[in-house]
Formats: sequence, C-alpha cells, structure tokens
Amino acid sequence: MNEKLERIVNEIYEELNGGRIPKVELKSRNKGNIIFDPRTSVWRYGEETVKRYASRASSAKSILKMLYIIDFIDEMEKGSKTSTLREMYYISEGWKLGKFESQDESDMMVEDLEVMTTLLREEMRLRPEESGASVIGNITLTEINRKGEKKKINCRDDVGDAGYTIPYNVEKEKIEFVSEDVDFVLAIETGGMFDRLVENRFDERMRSLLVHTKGQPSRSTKRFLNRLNKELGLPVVVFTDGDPWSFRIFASIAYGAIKTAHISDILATPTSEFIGITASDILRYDLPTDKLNERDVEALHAELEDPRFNVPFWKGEIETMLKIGKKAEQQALAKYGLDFVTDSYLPEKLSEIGIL
Amino acid sequence: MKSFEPTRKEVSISEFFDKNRQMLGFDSPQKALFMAVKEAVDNSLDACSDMGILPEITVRVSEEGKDIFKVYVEDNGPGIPRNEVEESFGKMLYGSRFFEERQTRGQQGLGISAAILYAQKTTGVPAEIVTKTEGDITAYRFVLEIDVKRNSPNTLSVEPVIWDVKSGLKITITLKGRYTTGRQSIEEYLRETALANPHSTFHIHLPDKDIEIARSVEDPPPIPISVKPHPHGIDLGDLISIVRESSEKPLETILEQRFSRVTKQVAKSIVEKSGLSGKDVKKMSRDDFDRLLKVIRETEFMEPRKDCLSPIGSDALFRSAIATFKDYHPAYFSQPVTRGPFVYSGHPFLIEAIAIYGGDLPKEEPIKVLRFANRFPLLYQQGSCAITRAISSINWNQYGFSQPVKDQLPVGPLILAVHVASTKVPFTSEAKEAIAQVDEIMDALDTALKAVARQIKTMKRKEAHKNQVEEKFSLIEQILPEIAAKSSKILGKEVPDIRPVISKVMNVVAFREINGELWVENFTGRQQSFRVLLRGEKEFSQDVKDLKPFQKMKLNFQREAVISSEVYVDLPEPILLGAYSLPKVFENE
Repeated sequence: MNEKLERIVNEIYEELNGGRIPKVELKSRNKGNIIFDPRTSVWRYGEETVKRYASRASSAKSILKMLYIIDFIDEMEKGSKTSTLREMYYISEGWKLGKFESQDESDMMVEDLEVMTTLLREEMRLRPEESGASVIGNITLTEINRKGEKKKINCRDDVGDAGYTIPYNVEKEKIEFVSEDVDFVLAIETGGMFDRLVENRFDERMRSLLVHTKGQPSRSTKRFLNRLNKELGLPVVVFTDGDPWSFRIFASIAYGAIKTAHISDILATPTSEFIGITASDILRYDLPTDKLNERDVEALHAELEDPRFNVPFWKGEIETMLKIGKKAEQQALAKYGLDFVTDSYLPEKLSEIGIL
Repeated sequence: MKSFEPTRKEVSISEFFDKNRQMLGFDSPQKALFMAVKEAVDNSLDACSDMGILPEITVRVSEEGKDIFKVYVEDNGPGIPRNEVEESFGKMLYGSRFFEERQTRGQQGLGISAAILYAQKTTGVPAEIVTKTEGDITAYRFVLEIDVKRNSPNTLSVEPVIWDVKSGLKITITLKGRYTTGRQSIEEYLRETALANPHSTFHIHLPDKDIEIARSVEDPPPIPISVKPHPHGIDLGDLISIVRESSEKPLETILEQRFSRVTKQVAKSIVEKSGLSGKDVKKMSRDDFDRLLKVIRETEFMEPRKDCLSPIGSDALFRSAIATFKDYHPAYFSQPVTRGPFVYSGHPFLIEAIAIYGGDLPKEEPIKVLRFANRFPLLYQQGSCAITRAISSINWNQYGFSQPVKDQLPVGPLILAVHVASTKVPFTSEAKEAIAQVDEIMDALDTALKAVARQIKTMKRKEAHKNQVEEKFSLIEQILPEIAAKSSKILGKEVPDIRPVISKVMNVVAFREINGELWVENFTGRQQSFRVLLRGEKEFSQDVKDLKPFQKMKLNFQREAVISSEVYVDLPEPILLGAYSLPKVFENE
C-alpha cells in the first residue's frame, strides 16, 4: 500500500481508537487561498488549511468517501489495474454511504487526495477520460506498453500522419526521452491547423515538434510540454485562434489553472510564448474576422482582471481586441493561400520572438 | 330549477333536458360520462347511509365502441322495492319536493334519470336495473326507458333473476361519452369520494386501470335524522308551498306543525303580527305571504337542531387521509379540525378540515384543495367556491408558504381537504359545483383553516428540527461506524470502540420521534434530569429523572400529541437536540 495514503487512513484510525474526533486536514481550496506567484509565474496554494472534522455529518461523509477511494486504489494496486475517473464514479454506486452524488464530486475528492499526498492521480491509478495530444516531429522516446515492454518510438518516422498520441500517464516511469533533433515545440490549438503544418512539413523545415492540444489541453498534454521544456530545454510556443478563449489556453499552458494549483510546478510552462493569432495580427494581416459576442466581451474584461494577463503585452492585445470588436480563427490565414502560414506568417512571427 | 317549475307540465322532458344540459351537468361527452358514474355512486352511498349499511360499491366503466361507454354500478344497499323502481328512476318527472331538512348528497331528484335519458338519447340503449330488497326471494331485472312523449318512465321488461346477496342494486347505463384521466376525472371523483366516505369499500374498474379502495373505518356514520325546516331557512316559494299543502288547517297550526322551533304561542303571535288572524289559508294572497315571511324573519326562534348533521368525524377523516395519500409519503397529516355546528339562515352547518403536508407532493405548484359538500366531492368551479376563497384570503406567508399573488392559492407541498356539512349547503348554482360565500360559513371556514395552518407551521418547524436530528443520528449510527469499519479493514486492524467519539460528537440529550413515539437518549456523558413539555394545541409534560449516559427511553406521550406538538425541555440549548430550551423548572434533588 502506498505510504502516503496509508498515513491518512492510519491517522483517522488512531483518532477513533483514542476517543478523539477524526479529521482530515488539507490546504484550503478556496479561491482566496490560491495565489498567483509572480516569482515563478504560476498559481500556487497559500498557507491556509482547512480541517474537516467527523463531528459534522457532511464532513464525516467526505472522510468516509475518501476511505472508500483509498481502499479502491489499494485493491487496484493488488490487481495491477487502473481505472478512469468515470469508472470509479460508477463503481462508487456500490459504496453505500460513500456513494458520490456526481462525478464532479468524485473528481474533486481525487484532487483533494492529490493536494493532501502530493501524489498525482496517475500515481493513484486513476486517469481521465480524454486522450492526450498528438505529436509529430523528430524526437525519439520510449514508452512502456501494456505488455510491460519498453517500446522505442520516433515521433516523425515511426508514426502516421496523425502522429504519436501521448498516453494519460507521461511520467518518467512510463515515458523517457531518448534523443531529439528539434529547436522548439509548437503547441497548436486546432486540428485543421495541425494538419496543415504536418502536410506542409513544417516540422522538418523548421526543426520543430508539433503538438496538437485539441482545444484546452489535458493534464497529460501540459505535463508533456512541461517535461519537454524542463528536461530537454526546448522553448514552447503556443499557436491558437485569436479570441479570448484561446488566450486562456495559452494561460493554462503557461501558468497553470486554479483547479490544479497544487501541481502547477509540474504542469505549467511559464516560459512559453504566445505567437498568435493576436489582435494586432488581425489588423496587420487584415484577417477575415467574426464579431465579438457578449460572452467574448465579458471574457476579455475578466482577463483584464486576471493576474496571469497582467503584463503590457496582454493588456495591449486585450484592449485592442475590445476596441476592434473582432476575433479571428487560425485558419483565417488561408486567405493568402495554403502555404502562407508556413512560408510567411510563422517564420515572421518566430523571428520576432527570437526563436528563429 | 325555479325557471322551469311553473311550466314543467307543458314542456316535453326531452326539450327540457336539451335546454338544461349544462345545469344538469351533461354539457360535454367527458362530463356526461363523469356525471353518469357520479349520479349512480351518489345514489348508492345515500341508499346505504339511510339504512346504516357499510357500503361496498363496484364501479365498472368499459368502452363498448367508439365513444360508447357502459357504466355499471353495483351496491350492497337496501335495494328498491319492485313497485317503486319506475318512480325512483323517473323521479325527475314527479319532482315532488319533500319539506324536510336532512343532510343528503343533494340529489335534485333528477340526477340518475337525467343520466338514463342522456344515454337513451345518445345510444338508444335502455337502462338495466337489478334490484333486490331484504324481503325478496329473488332479484328483479328491469329494462327501463323514459317515454319522452308521455314524460314518464316506461318499463320494457321485468324478470326475476338469481342474485345471491341480502339486498342491493345494480344499474347499467350505456351512453356516449369520453373517458379522461387526471383532473376532474372519474378516478379523481371516486378517490375523493372514498376519502370523504371512509366507511366505504370501492372496487373500481376503469378502461385504463383497476383500483381497490378498502374502507378505513368499520363503523357506519350515524343515520342522518330528518328535521322540519327552521323558519329562518325558508324562502317565499317554500312558504307558499308548505302552507298550501295543508290548507285545510288554520295558519297557526300549520306553522307550529310544519316548522321546527315554532311553539303554539310563537305561531299565534306571528299570525297576529301579520294581520292574518282568522284568515282562510286558501284565500291568502301573495301580499299576505310577503307579510307573513317578513314577520317570520323578524321573529327570534331557538336555533335549529344541530344533531341532524353527519360529519365525517375526526378519527375517520384522519385514517382516511392516511389511506388515501400514503403513496405521496407525506411528512405530516394534521389533526383534523372541526368547527361548528353553527347556523346560517336557519340551516345548521359544520366545517371539517385536514391538511396533508410534504413528502412527494409538488413543491412549486399551488396547493391542492379538495372540496366536499355533504361528503361528496366538488370537482368543478373551484375558483368561485367559498372554500377556495376562504383559503385564498388567508395570509399564508405567516404560515411559511409563499403566496405569489395576494388572494390566490399559496404555493407548496400541501393538500387541504375541507368538508362543509349542512342540511342545506348553499350552492352557487343548481349544478351544485361550488359553495356560495355566505358570511357565517366564510367565518367558520376561516377559523378552521387557520387552525389547520397553525398545525402546519408547527410541523414545518418540527421538520427543520427533525432533519437536524436525523442527520446527527445518521452520523453516529451509520457514518462513524462505517469509518471505523473501513479504516480498520484497510489497515487490517481491529475495529475500535467508537462510543467515546460518539459521546464527544453528540454531547447532547437527543429527542427523536420514531413513528409517533418520542424517544430520549442521553449522550452527555453524565446523568441528566429534566422536564419534557409538549406544546401543540394542548400541553403535556413528563419528568425524567437520572437518565444515565447512553441510556435511552421512550416517553409516555400519546401519538397524536407527539405528532402535532413541539418539544420543550428545561435544559440549556447547547446540550439539546430535537427540542427547544425552556427555563429551568425542575431542580435536581
């Protein structure tokens, strides 16, 4: 049994045994206790903690649920199994009083356990639904497959046009980097643009590794980018649509999210650069646009208040977008032909930020 | 009714029916089917109640063809003597009015005949009636129609048939109609009828379902007593008819004999004051009657007899409500409230009300109102009924219900069942679908409803308490033991004794209501003595001495008191659960 999990159970048991009211203590997950650390540029937990005492029925229930999860993880370990968060939620149907009301509740409790133990959910044999990103580029890695064999894969030569799909667990015990011959990583929001760059052989021509984030990136995608950046020293460049929601994709890759503030260290890549589409690009390249709707405008205003965007570059871009009242998609660059993005736009922008 | 009386002899019954369909309740195919069932069932219940028989009634509605329905109603009542069958089912033609006051379902003497006539007009199928009285060896089967030309019933055939019961009546009517479910349906009518007649058993077979409703009380209600009309309850038409019917007698004698509460002396003084002494009754003019009525109205009489009313009864209503609404799992049934008998315009009346609250009843909809007049449900014209008006005019916010629009029904998981019993329920129209807003009745409804509402308010406060108590008990009885079991299982250790933790978590004297019993358990870790006071409509108290830690006892309160009261205890607030704190009235010795 995992030591950190066992310690939690043991504490509860000993309190009961000693006639004291059992409790669990963890960092407060209130918004107020999640601080943007300007030094490291990521979200972190503050010092505030909460204690959940079993003297209240609701807290006692959550302690009980936590015990059920730990027991479940222990059973999986014995059977060498893993489960998705959703599977665990359905399995909890049989947990009587420990049954979850919704998957949000069970997901949240797994995050609680992560916060308490500093273990990742993957290390607790729990994984999310969504599949990880697609990767294409000249990098060689090994993955331990389900047969337990170490499989060597070159992400340019050993894969089809869809690329290598990264698994839910991208930690060292699963994936190791062997060698690489690229200068930077380009994280791309949309599938259409990813395919365009693949077809135009942008990876080979610009010595880059293309990563398709599939919209808002999953944990494993962010962790993968984090490792590429930290371990291989590759700069990460983010290429998205030009709208407030895409700005948030960048922010989440660069600075992490409130929900995962406890693991910002391993998920966020604070040195990532945003390449576009920016509001200035819309003007500079005279791109086809859509009007901002009410929700877009609200989101932009919220971003002006967000500490992650509190730098002159972002303030300027957000204000420009509000002023022109327009947004543009990545694929709007096709206005100037299919090769424009790879021949002109990206080389120009990459030079500007000093990557090329 | 008044409008047709003077000319009824000249108008053909068929024509009369067509003109008065709406008044008789046969204005749509849906309502016609409903009315046929209602008239037959009302007759059955009345027949049983006249003889003190516990009714057992079978109702079968079956679809015979497109829009053609057969309505079959069977009862275990006294049956109808062979020679009275024609008259009974052709009553609308005779239209004789009996000048006596008695609480009945309010037949107009028309109902069942109207159903037979409607059936005949829409399908041409005559009615079939099987009757057996106690003295008969066999039953008799009548096939009967109404001869619209002669305005009289016409028996097509009579034959003796075997029916192995003591007595009873079966009637089959085949008519055009439409079967519906939901509001104002046959099912709703029968269920509500059963609620107001808890001494009755119903076997119900509808096109879409079968329903069994067993009686919830075993005693028939007392047989309603007939009393002569009270002089204050009479109108001019009634007065003229009564006096003319006995025109051979002197006026004083007529007044004394035909009305209640009129003594010889009073009768004499009325006649004198009206200036009618020695007047030949046969020669009395309209003016004479006007004056006579005016004097009668000005004269004071003893109040009418009130024992001629037949309430459902508190106990019966309570059981009946539980039986009827148990499927909603209501949180509470109020104690039934009775107000009266009181008198309006010479007619005695009383009000009975009960509230059913919570459970699966809808929370976001207006409350449900069940209206009853003389034990029969009123399903139509809710908005204009005195009962609905009286409910709407109460300020329900005061009782913890939202009332989005003032003077409208409040919103919440509540059913109010209200019964008005009277020798003469004042209906707003001849269709007898809504009760008129008579001052005396409105006042009585107001006090009865407020008494019920107060109980609901208490209940709601109790509910909040109850949730708190149940939560704590679920903590100590289920959650903590499971935490102990689970943690020891994971670690492979022995299950710890959690009583010390329970005592710490609780540290209260806990009062808990379980199925109408009040239990107290001491979790404080030391001995406790205290007084328990139940406060509801009445107060009850019990002293508890030296209740030891973890000791649990049942308190000796009546179920009704426990259900309808709040618990007060002379212990400080922090160590009480499920009770309110009272100043110390009881010192430890």
